[in-house]
Amino acid sequence: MKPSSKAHTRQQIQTINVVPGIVITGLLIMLLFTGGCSKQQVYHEQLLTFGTLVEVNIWGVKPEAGRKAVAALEEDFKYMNSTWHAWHPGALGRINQLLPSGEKFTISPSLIPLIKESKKLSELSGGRFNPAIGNLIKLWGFESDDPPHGPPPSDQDIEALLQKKPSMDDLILNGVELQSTNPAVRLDFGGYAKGVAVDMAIDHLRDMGIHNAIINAGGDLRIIGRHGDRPWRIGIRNPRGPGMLASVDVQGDECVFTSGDYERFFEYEGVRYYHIIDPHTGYPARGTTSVTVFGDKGGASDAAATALFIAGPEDWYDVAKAMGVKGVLLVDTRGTVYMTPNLKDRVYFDVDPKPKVVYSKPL
Amino acid sequence: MTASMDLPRKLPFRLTRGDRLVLLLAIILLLSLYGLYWSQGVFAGQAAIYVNGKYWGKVNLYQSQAIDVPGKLGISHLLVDKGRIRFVDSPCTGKQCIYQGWISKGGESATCLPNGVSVQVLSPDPRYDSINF
Repeated sequence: MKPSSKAHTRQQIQTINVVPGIVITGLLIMLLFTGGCSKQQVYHEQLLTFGTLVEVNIWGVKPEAGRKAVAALEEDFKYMNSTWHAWHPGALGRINQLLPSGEKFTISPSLIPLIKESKKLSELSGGRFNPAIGNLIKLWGFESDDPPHGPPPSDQDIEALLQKKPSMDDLILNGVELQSTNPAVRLDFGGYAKGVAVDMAIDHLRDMGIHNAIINAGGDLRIIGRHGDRPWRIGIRNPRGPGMLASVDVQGDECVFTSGDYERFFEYEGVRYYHIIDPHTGYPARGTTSVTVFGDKGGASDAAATALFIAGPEDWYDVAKAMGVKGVLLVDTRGTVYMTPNLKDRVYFDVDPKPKVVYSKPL
Repeated sequence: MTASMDLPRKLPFRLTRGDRLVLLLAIILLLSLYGLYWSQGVFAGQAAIYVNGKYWGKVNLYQSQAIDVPGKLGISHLLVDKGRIRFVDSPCTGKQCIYQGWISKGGESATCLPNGVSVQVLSPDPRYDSINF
């Protein structure tokens, strides 16, 4: 059978037409495999430390390298937890024993940056974030490994502590020597130390050559880099009811810190008392159910999450601006979401119906 | 060669060399999809359970079952039903884990911190890489 010249031409044309189809199919297959690889390349591990669940996700490392990195972080977290713990025996525990004496004493150098930085942040927050109110936290029973059962403390006991006005300004830090001019100061870095720990863990990961990762210390989270060809996706818990409120795309180097009234609380005679105490009233702050803060540094974001929760739907904007926060998503007790406009394009609500959203001015 | 050249003429349409190539690629695509989503053992509908941060086991979420997970304080009781999983009881005081309810989306997790038990829904393309709780 001799192919005619006509048939030959037709064959050529068809071959040419089919080329784009083959190329596209080929590319699709390749895309699928690269997509598959990136999914395989997340190394995930959990650590039960720092009084919470610390989750580490690293993209693009071999399991052996991932294991090694997480083992190093676990040592860091153990050390920081024992040094900065407010009521377990350790460096901060010792400070809290010596502060009421009013005498000068030498402290562990690892606590100096914590005291200095948190003092600045406390000022910027207008005293809403105040690590000097350890006695108030203790009075409410939240300085404990077990959640308190109530009853809540008496109004008189709370008032007595408030009148002593413990503040970071009462501390005199001179080199490694610390002294308190107010015997009512008791340090509790509950709303700050985890953030600093996350910062240090990220620094350590970078030193180990890891540039795409998430460190999530019980809702205190900092990410670096990306998840391969897409940003990292973070779920924000629904403060009322199960499941997630929203997912957020995060990449580069960013902190996402959430403070919610559901984290630690007790119920007594039908009233819920949670762990975020307003230093000005002495009672759990009212008006907010959860607030998510976006920022550069974990320590500052942690402090800001506490401060904005206390500031509530009315005052959060000014406090966020003063504290240098990059973005805010605050949910009030009626479920209304207050949000900075820069988050609009990367927050996807996962609840049905979608919540009512009130946008603020840009920060 | 002659047979294959003749074959298309017997069909109501012509199967060119290009068509055959596309068909072949489609079959490869199908096989690779199968390999990607099934052979690696990570597909939607599974959850991983961790105890004290250590991997404890994997469960199929489409097989209704009750799971007892021993933790620091005692046994956490989990329930699996129709692609979802939840804590139904745990020897903790706060009962936060139970309050978290059913989880089903890739990357969603529920945790009983006092008992050191946590569960996370697995997915080849999770909705969430990490949860801010």
